[in-house]
Amino acid sequence: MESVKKGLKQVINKISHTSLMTVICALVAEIIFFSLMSPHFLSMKNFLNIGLYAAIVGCVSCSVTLVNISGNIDLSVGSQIAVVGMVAAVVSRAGYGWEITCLAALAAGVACGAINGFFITVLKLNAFITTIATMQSLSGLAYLISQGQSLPISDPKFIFIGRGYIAGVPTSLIIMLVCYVIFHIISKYTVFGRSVYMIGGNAQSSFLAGIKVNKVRFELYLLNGLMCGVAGVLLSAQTGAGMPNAAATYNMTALSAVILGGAALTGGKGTIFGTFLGSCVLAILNNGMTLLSVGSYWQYIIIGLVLLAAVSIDAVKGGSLKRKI
Amino acid sequence: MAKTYKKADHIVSDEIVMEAKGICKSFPGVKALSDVDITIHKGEVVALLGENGAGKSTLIKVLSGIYKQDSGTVSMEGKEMHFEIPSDATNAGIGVIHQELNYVPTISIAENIFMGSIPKKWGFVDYKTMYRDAEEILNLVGLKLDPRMNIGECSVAQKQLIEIAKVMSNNAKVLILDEPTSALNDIEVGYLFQLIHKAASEGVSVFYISHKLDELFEVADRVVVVRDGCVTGQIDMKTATKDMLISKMVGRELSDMYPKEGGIAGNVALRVEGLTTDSLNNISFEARNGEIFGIYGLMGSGHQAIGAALYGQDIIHNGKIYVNDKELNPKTPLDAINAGLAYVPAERKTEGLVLNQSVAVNTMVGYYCKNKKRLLNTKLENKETQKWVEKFGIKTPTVDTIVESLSGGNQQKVILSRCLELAPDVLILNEPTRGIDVGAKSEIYKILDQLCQDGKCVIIITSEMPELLAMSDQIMVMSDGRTSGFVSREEATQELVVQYAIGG
Repeated sequence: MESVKKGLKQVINKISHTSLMTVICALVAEIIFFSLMSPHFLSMKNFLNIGLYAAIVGCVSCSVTLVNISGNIDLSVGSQIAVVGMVAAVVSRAGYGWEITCLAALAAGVACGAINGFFITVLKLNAFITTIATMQSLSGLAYLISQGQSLPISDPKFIFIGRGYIAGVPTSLIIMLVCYVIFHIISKYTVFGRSVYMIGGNAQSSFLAGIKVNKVRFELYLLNGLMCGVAGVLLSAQTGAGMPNAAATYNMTALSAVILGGAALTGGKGTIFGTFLGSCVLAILNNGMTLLSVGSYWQYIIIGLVLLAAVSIDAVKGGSLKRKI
Repeated sequence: MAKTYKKADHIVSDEIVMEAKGICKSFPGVKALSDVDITIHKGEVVALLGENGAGKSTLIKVLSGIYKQDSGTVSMEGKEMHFEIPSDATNAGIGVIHQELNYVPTISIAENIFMGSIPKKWGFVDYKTMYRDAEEILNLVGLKLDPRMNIGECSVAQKQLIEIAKVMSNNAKVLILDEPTSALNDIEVGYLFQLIHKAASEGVSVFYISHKLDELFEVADRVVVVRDGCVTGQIDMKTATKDMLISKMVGRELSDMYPKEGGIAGNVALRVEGLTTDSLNNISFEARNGEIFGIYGLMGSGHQAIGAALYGQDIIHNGKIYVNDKELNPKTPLDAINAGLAYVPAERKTEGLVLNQSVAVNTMVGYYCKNKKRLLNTKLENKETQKWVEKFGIKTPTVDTIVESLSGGNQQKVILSRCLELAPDVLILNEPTRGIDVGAKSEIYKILDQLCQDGKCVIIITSEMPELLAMSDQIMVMSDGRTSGFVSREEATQELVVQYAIGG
């Protein structure tokens, strides 16, 4: 009993000293608030529902976290997901099975990542500028594939990825959780993950220490493209169609989750677990407000305010008021 | 050259310009200053001496209004001062030149000088006046530069002199110079000393902070030694000796600053033939196992670029590099590491360490890269790091401590550990002891000497003459991107080296 208490104390101590404190408090507050306000909120079914819809952004947030930790940014994830969704729809409609469709979709994602990676690591363009450009071009490409139309997918096996359940748990949610576990392992236990943190902390020092900085960066964008592939598959399988305009807001949602989770846009800081909590906060907020029939305009305003509040709390905790500039 | 410069006798008056009494300042967990008293007279040059972390910088920051003291008073000419923001101190006549220079690299020299008080005419910038005044200010320190030039194009030394000119032009009564010479060569240092004496003879009081003991004898009237946040000695420079200062500073006798025993010269470990890059022109040399090969040059002579070229940072246009008779064509630092080189860069904080990561992470990063590991091995990491921590006496609470919180000397030892973890054949150190205190310096020299005795090849690229002369077995002097001379240990004198360095 004593040791359990001690262990618990240690865990609490550890949590309260990390930047995760804010996001955990937000999560707890949210859950309490919505369960008091809505009788439908606190049920297994609703939580699985939340997981189902959080899965798409959740997947892509994993890799966006690593990109941000490395001190880079990718603003084109929404457009990449749109392209992937369209490719999946076209391939599936051409009569190929779900395996080929998924492979084609993932390949499309990796190709998008390679385009970003090429400009950022070979021509060494600024990541912000590069991905603003690819965001627009890839979005245009997604519209061009179907002349702006939605392309319905009818393959039930493919649809299962998005809408099916395995042992009562949505497939999408399982895929997302597996992704988080894998990315957690990458970030904590591999040399690649360590290199990502080092590069974000100081790219020049990392380079001189022997890290192949550009290779790691390129691989990060490939990985990010791959995860956009996964998210694109989930999106088109859930909606049952390739829709060029469906993923427009995913950029900012993914970035918001990463920031809520304590990652610094300047690099070197952040955790996969933090991002997981961050995406939970956003998904629950979304679900709760919908249950309370909050209008969608208000939802945007509130999500923005929550993000501002969380970041402000962390900044003040970090002593921003005591700093002169 | 510093040595030929004779200290001018200026008169120090009895009038106290600035006085600090009972200054205490604590940071979470550390008492940085306890009950410090310090005074400075009109026209006096007071050197502040102390190891890194002794409290010098904190004291300076209290005197210049960057930190607020917990207790104690600071008074100027008998009036008690309450500095709320740094510009209060500037207005009171205190000018500070910080170790890290403050400038905006993308705007002109003149705009940098007048930043915050740009001359105006009818609300618009008065460029004519600004450039004219800037030129006058530059003349103060003998710089012949076009004030319209971007300050980013100036050398480090020029920037430092511009900064000094800027502060002096504000009619400061008290000048505080925090390690002003760390980026200057001997000629520029001599020039700076002349400036300081000129200022002092005009009645300006100067606080001078430096790790270089030799300098203090040339520039200071009095030295105040700080250790562990307390003043441990106030010595008139006329009666001071080097040993006395060192023992006051570290609290122990440093029998030998440069513990050179030397190794036995062996095979040629590194051979460079006709190396040519953007800043190097046809450089050839051989460095042997069991020897320290010193490379010296004045600022801008290209000696710093040798490290960058050997380590795959610069593009090599021509020439060959052989490590133990195997040809090396370094495209990235990793190529050089794989060939058996290890490199300690000049800038510890921006090139050497990832400051927000732990001691262990920084120590082991090279190991993983060289051995092409894919998975981390925390157990090995802790064991190896612990080994280096004990071997080099790195002062850190644990191996998981963030490296940013370590002192400069300990940070340097972490970089050394990382290099030696690679088990290199040739160790290259660029400015191995820049900005670290005497105690740590001596320890680093001991490590280098030990490596030599173990038969390793060590190359030091340095701008510090005493270090070069005391530690090197062979010396290559550079000037204008070329080799201007080779000097062996026996024939090496300061005069000879400088003669080569200025291109004779």
